[in-house]
Amino acid sequence: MKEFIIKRLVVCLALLVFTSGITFFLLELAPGDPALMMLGQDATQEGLTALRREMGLDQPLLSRYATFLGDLFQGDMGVSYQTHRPVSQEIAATFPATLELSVASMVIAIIIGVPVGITCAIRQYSLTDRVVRFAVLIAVSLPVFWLGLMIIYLFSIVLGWFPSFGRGGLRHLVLPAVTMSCYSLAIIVRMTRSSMLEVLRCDYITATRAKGIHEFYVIYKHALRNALVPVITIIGLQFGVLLGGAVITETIFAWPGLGRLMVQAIFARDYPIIRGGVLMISACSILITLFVDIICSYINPSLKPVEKS
Amino acid sequence: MHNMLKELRRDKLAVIALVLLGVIFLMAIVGPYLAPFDPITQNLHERRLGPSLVHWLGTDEFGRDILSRLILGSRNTLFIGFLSVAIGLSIGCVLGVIAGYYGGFADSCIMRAMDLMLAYPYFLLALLIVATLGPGMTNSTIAIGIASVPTYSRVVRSSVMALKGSLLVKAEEALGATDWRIIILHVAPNVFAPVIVVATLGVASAVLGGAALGFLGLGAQPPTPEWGVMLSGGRSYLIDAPHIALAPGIALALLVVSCNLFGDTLRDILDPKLK
Amino acid sequence: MYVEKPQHNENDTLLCVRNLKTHIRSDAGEIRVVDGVDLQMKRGETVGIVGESGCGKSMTGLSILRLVPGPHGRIVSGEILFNGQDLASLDEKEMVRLRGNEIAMVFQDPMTSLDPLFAVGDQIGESMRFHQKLSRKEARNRAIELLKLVGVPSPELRIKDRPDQLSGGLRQRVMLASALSCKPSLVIADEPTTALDVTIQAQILELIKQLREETGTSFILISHDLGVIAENCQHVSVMYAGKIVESADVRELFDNPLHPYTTGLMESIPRIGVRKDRLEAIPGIVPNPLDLGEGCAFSPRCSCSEEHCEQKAPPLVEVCPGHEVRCWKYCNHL
Repeated sequence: MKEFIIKRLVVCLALLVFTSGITFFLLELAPGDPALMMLGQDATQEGLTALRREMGLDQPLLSRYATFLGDLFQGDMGVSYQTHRPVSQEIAATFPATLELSVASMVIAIIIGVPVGITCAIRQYSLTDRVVRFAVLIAVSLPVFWLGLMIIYLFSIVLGWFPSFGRGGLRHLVLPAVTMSCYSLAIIVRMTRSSMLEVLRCDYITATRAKGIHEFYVIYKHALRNALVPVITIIGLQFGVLLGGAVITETIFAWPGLGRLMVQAIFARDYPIIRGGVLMISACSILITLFVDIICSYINPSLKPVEKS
Repeated sequence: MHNMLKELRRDKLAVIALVLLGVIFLMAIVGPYLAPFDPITQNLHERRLGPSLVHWLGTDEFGRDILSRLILGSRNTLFIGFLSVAIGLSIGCVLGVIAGYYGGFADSCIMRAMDLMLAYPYFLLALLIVATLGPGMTNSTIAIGIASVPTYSRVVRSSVMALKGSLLVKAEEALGATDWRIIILHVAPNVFAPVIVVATLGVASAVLGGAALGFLGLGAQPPTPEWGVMLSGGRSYLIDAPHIALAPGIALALLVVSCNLFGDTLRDILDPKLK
Repeated sequence: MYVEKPQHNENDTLLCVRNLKTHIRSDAGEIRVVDGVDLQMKRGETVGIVGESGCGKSMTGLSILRLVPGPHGRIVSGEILFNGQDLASLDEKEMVRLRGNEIAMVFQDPMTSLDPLFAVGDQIGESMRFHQKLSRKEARNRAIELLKLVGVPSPELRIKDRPDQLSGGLRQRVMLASALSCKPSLVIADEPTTALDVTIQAQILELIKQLREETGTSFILISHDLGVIAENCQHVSVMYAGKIVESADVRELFDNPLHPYTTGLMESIPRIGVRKDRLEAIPGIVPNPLDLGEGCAFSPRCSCSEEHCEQKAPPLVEVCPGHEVRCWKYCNHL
């Protein structure tokens, strides 16, 4: 077990280093002079040269990457061109909001999605199953940004139940979290259903029924546990999708998160912020994948590489 | 082929999806002749009018006819959807065939690179590429296309690998056929089925991704009529003119539902195992 | 060690299946998998059902336990009298109480019929915990005893293993232990040896024989292999296309096979000591269950098929006491 986790950790670390590299080099390709952006249009030539030297822009690309990587490991991600504040501070100020929104959405998606998926699998071809499958199809096809607008219109403007923008207590969280969970919810229902259906067809389920075990235990003890690995895997992937898609929901609901910060940074060509945000989110999704792998290997021990015994 | 049509006909939803797709395509092709008004010219006297006999879907925040913008916008939305799939698919196919057919070192290199791309959430990768290239319709199309490369290359690779182990290809190899002959004659036709399925579903997510970038202001730029852009325009007038955001959203949802439905049906037909 | 349940009269009927029909709905229409099967067995007896794959023998076994896979499969009609009680009309709750407790089942493939995620000890103990309300510890001790009974070495260690850590033969022993755990009066063994190596097959069959003698449990042995049936059963029913085509005591059936299908099956078995230039195979294939015509289902493959065979299905007739056959050839005996 320990060996397995260490192996996965190494892979993760490699992925983190490589993604940081890709992110760094891609954004280096982007047009624009960072020094000019920091100082503004009325900068003097001497000022620009001085700043370029200070920022290390006169160094070759690879050594700049090395410096960047070294700084990164010390938690230094550079300084925002717009606010001149450290990127790490900007991220620390906005990321909790994004995390709060994503976790809330995920909780909604799991709490509703898994039981609904199980119910559909048990009652395959029933009316419930058909209705849910149709709803899933619609839900994966709805543009999040449109769904968000319609939800604002209905629950905030017409009914006045919830605030439509900003971050505050639970009431502020409801609409954006529901909007954001819609797609993941549908994907989780779909995966739970198909995974359960596959397991329910297995011989050992019939064999367990033949032992006279109550149907409840057949479903929730035997079938669900066997069906769980793909479901948890997709939940992990969806967490990444949520973090990546947070940009959209945060923009609609004026949610002060990392996503919104990044969109503003793209418009302002504030590359340190973009780089920091992309790194933060991709690091999170890499870590979630690691976490999911470990959980899955606990659920199904035969998944992990053979142990020497 | 005949069988396929027969099965397709049995699935009523798939037929509806196909008809819808047809209508949207037709709209994109004959759009300029169909649109009752100019989609770009602003008419500030007729701002945010509700639906009427003159403007069936009302007018937007600049007094432009929403129906006309919707009709002409279908071109841009479809352009983004299909072109990005074409980009992703062609790169993905080449990489997938190389990885699957030659295996070994090339395979590991390509697949590790794909893993690396998959470490980024799909939309985040698209966002990163747009940030590099700068906002705009073409750039967002390229971004969405590149972000979807790993999906396609993996599908292609696995079906190529499955085929490579088959007796058919082994027999051809034993007869001394060239790699090219095998790839074109045997690999390509058999990879076609899974590819067409992922590509159809890919159009759905590309359309959504492209529109999302447009909505954020990173894709197609105003005043270009594009459904995502139209939605973002309606966003500020949700209180007194919700119809501005309604129509393009429904159009977008219908297009994506149709692609998803059609893709699912194709998968059921081409790969009955998954049913 | 193995405590007997209260013994009933030696001669009373344990199970009596009458006109059992199980259908499966498919896209192309209703498949009559089990089409009017009759079975009768006494307490302590072992009955064999033999037939080619797809003839409905497994489905007959599942129907007795009312485990026909839904939502497409269902028992259409028939009586399943077990100890005089009609299982077909029991509600699901009573059925659950009966499964594993009174009637247990052993499945064909030990690789797939054990839950891969649970230790085998838990899986053996599970039905006892449900039916006999044993504590975790009691169930564990019983599981160890049972594993000893079915000849698994060092059972104290084995109970902690997951199925993928055991060989096929061991797994089938585990299945048997699990089936016997609540001392059922009937065990339905569906091809219990088909998926195993030949040497293991013999061991498992020997084990079943021994368990039968030790515990007095009745078995329904479902197999496609006449040899397996011959060695283990007192009574045999031959099934073809959902129907029983011949039914007799083992000796009688092997000495005097009447149905052309039965003779065909026997001629396709290689026998030591009998010099034969070639084995006879039954020509043709198992018929498509969807286009069974009006006539005898075997007629297209039958060497003595006549015109009326294809027009009307023959009834099951008793040719001599205890020997029934479903073929027009024997109907003029009436």
